[in-house]
This record gives sequence, structure tokens and C-alpha cells, in this order.
Amino acid sequence: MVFPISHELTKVVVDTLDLPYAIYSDEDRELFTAYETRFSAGAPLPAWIVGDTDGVIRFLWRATEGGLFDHYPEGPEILAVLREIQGA
Amino acid sequence: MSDEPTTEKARRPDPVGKAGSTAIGEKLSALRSGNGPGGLGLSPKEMRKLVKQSDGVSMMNQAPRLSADSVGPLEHMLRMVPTTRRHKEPRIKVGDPVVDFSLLGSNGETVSLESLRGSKPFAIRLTRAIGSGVI
Repeated sequence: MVFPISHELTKVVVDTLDLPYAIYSDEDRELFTAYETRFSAGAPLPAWIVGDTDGVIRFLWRATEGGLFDHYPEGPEILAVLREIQGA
Repeated sequence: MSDEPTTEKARRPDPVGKAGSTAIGEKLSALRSGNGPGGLGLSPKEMRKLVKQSDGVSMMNQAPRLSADSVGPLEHMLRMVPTTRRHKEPRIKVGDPVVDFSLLGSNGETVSLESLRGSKPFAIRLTRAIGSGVI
């Protein structure tokens, strides 16, 4: 999971919420820009990228495609994609 | 000049009429006792003119906003139809290589494309913000 905020702020979020996993910081929004997530009210929009073992994109969802309110992939959908790639 | 749309105009979406027919638009109309879509005392023709003049509709194109005063007049915001759809095809698509990256994690460890490649498929979630949940 990647946040578009500084490492320090990301740490605060993780510590405050006591998250059992790490969150990565993309303060300069390089990945957000590279994947063309675009912005809304100054904040980049969300996206999912699933890559295979060769580093090829096998699944890509951006809020700008399909619309944030039409379809919003959740964990189970992404896990199914990962399993499908692994089983292929 | 007539209010009747031309054939070409009829094919275009009417953001004012569309916003006025949404649930919030209808509520606003009811609050202002039926003064047109949105109920701010302007006729549909006046609202269309206002929206065109100040580019209120193009706010849906999701450009970066640097301060609250760059968002636009309240009248326009009330009539924005929620959308995140893009108008141009993105360059990066399924089948392309994953963009190279190196990111510092909250645990102090750095993860890169190179470190993920080769063992298992992986998922990257670019997350927008934190609210009551992660959105």
C-alpha cells in the first residue's frame, strides 16, 4: 500500500492505527503520476496494479476508469487476480 | 433567442439539468421552492450561462487543486456531477511492464520493483487518503 504523503506522516498513520503491515510513501507522487491516476481536490486518486513474476502488469484499475462510484475493487477481487496469475 | 436546444446541442449532456435532477439537486430545489434546477433562484438558461462562463463543469476533469479558492463558486460545486472518468486513454495498460520504483516503508525498509520481481505476483495499492477508512 502506497500513500502520497511523507514517510514521517505515513509512519504516524501506521502507528496511530496500529497497523500490522507497512505502508510505503510516495511523497513526490512519482508512482501516482506514472500510472496516471489523476487528481481530485488536490489528492491523487486511487489505483490497483497487479504485476506478475516477470514484472508485467496483469491487472490495472484506476478510479478514472470505470469511475470511482461504479466499481471499486476490494481485497477479495485482487486476491482472486493474484491467485489466478499464480495458478496459471 | 429560444431556449430550445439545437440537434447538436441535444446530443451533448446537459450538466445543469442532470445535476438538478439528482437527489441533492431535487432537495435544493425543494428547499428553494422550485426556482429551477438546484433552486438558487436562477433559471436553467441563466445557470447554463453561469456554468459555461466560469468553467464549473470542467472541474470534473480532476485537475490538481492547490487551495480552496481555486475550486470555484458554490453554485458550480453544487451542480457538479460526481465523476472520475477520464477523457483520454491512459498510456499505461495491462501487458505493459510495471513502472520501476523504490519506496521507503513505514517500517524503515525500502521496497523496489526489483525486490518484488521473480518470486510471486504482487499487488500495489495506490491509496488516496485516510478517512474513517482507507479510501
